[in-house]
Amino acid sequence: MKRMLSILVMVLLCGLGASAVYAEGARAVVDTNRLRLGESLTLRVIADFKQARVEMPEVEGFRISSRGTNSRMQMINGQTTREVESLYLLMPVRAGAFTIPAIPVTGGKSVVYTQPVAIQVDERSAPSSTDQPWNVTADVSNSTPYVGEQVVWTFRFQTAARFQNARLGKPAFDGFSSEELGEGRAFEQVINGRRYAIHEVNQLLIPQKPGTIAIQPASLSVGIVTGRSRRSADPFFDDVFGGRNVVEQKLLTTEDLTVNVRPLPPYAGAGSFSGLVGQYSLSASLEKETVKAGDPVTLTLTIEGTGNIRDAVAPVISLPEGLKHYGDTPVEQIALGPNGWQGKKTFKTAIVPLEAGTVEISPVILVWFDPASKSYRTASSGPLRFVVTENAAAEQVDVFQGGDSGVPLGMAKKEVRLKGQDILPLKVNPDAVRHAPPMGTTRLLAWLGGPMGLFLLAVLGLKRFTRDLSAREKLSKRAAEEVRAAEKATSDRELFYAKLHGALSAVMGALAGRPVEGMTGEDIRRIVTAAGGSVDAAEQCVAILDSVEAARYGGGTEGEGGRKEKVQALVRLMKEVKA
Amino acid sequence: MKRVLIFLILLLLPITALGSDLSKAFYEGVSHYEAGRYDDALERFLSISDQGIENGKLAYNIGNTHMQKRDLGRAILWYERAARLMPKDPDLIFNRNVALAQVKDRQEETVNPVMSVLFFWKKGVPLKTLQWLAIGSGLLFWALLALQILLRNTPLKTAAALWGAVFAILASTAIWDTAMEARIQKGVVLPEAVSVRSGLSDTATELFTLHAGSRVVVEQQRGGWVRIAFAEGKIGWVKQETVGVI
Repeated sequence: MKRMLSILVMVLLCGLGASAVYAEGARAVVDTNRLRLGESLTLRVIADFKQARVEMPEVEGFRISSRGTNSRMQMINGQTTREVESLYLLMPVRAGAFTIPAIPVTGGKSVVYTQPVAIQVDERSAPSSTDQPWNVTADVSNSTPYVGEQVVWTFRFQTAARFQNARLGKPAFDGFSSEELGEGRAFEQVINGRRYAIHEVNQLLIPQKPGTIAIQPASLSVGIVTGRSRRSADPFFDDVFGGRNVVEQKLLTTEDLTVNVRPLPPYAGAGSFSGLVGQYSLSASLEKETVKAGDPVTLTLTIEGTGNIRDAVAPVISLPEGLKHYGDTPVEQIALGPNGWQGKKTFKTAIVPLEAGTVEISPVILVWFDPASKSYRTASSGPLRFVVTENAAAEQVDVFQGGDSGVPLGMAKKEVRLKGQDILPLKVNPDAVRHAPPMGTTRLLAWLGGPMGLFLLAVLGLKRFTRDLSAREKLSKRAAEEVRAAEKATSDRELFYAKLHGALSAVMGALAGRPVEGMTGEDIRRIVTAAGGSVDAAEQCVAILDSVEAARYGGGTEGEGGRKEKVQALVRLMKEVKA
Repeated sequence: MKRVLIFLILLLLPITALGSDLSKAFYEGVSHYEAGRYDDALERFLSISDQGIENGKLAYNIGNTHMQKRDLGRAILWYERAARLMPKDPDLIFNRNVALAQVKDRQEETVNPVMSVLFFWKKGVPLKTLQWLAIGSGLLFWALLALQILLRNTPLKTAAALWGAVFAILASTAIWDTAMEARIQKGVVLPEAVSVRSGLSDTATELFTLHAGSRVVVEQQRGGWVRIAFAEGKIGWVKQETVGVI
């Protein structure tokens, strides 16, 4: 028996030992050992013990992106095993032969290592054993733009395979202001006799500073449909409900891009540079050629073109002396086209001449940088003239200037004088000397709390009154009931006297307004007279008490008529008191 | 009995005499004002105010006199004092607006959007009106409740409950506003222009300038200086005599 036991213990220990060895394992698994640039591989680090922590090292030739950790528990042949799986996406950055080194996995105090894994990365154009029919690219319309010049970044996904759940991860575009150009487009193209579906996404970029700016790769997470599994043995159901697609999840990445942003050359021309970069034109017009002094005439300036037109500000207008001008809010008709922002911006200015004569406004100049010709260009409106005629009422016109127009007008603000009717007269009521301070918190609380106090007092009084009333009512009711019961029991001597005693007590209680027990003749006299009853009535009640006591202790000899008479005496007493 | 009567008459005599003196000063002030002697008028009106008399009409008259003297800061100060006592008076509203239109500094109202939506009904309701609304609704509520208890009438119970909710809102708002009114001291800039400084000295950095009639919140008083808040982010110190407390 002992021997059997020791064998059993040994077996159990061996089993535990095996389990421990198994529990400390860790392995690295990749979905492929050979890939091309632009593709990615999935690395799974699996540890067979809980609370495993993977310390992922740098891997030469790859960018690593963690995709989370999950754990699961299994029970096989009565043994429980735990697996912690950490998922990584490895994107090759150059071609060559690389090795994923042994990855340390810590759990508790022990550290275990995975086996190294060799990976071969081929060029993008290299023929693939699997001949993968998909490709992603990214490029820019101009890799050497000027600061402020619009550049279009294009991402293209080309595939001959069916796909689903595509999700594009755009780069951050640091150093640029960026705007999405529409919702992208999809079209088909035949390349080398093979039909490809092409999906394009465009982004408008405007470089903000000169220098070399790197655009990070874009990544496309996509499920490539590689086959179709049957759902049932009967093809009819597959036709009706459709089979299940076999999908292989891929993460495809583009190459890094580098944009060399050139600074704008120094400007040394006449006028001031507007800050606009692109292709522009300027037009200017006056609303009318003749205007009366004091009446406004509108000058309209329109800047139209392609580029950073949204940043356009009103060109400087040099007005002669004696004119006032008021700028209006610019009107924009700008839209995002395939080449970036384009449209026009209109600036309206109301000009008010104060004196008669001919007014000539100096040409309005717009200077912008044209990246196509790599030079600054200038557009001028030409001189604008209008004639101001005399206006009889002009001298009386007061025109006030809003804001700083930049034009010295030499007009001082008028002092606001108080006139007779500016303010209403004094109040002469005699109560103007009565002290009437504003209501403070204490007074307000008193006003709000006062009615509540009154209410509570009223309720308390009412309650007391109704309580007394209800006690009297109850006793009167009880008295009436007892009298009726005694009236019914006149034929039964014992019952009658019991009821009569009860009726007498109840009637006295009703008269006194409180329950009365163990009363004497003197008590009865006092109660009846206090309640307004006559002395006769009191004496009759005392007689009733005497007869009740005589009957109860000495045995009564009264007939039925005498009993009824006693009840009637009580009834009369109650009526008398009520009256 | 006679002695008690004589005692009462003696007790009332100074009050009557005071009342007649005040009335005399008041009517003298009105006469001086109408004759264009605004300094004399102001002296009479202020002598009444100095007796501790708080009255909306008196404050309005003092405001008018300052307006005639072209002392915009003090005119607005007294109009604001009058507005606490008779906020709905049309003459006061008119004259106050005339005065406020001449204030150079634009006052930006800082309104809490949540509170303005929750208490939309308070807009345009002066504190005095709100207080009397609360008191009136309280009287009605307690009366309804008492009637309901007396008559044991169910519809009255519902009406009392609904009116109780109205009363609770009005009363709590009135109490809160009254407490805030007492706690938050408001003031008006009196001189033509005053430099608001970062500290309690004339050499402290000048933060901004306020002009006569600008309304401020007086936050603190220390060593002859007051800390004022004009708008969000516009806080500083000015000399105490340059700000009149409403």
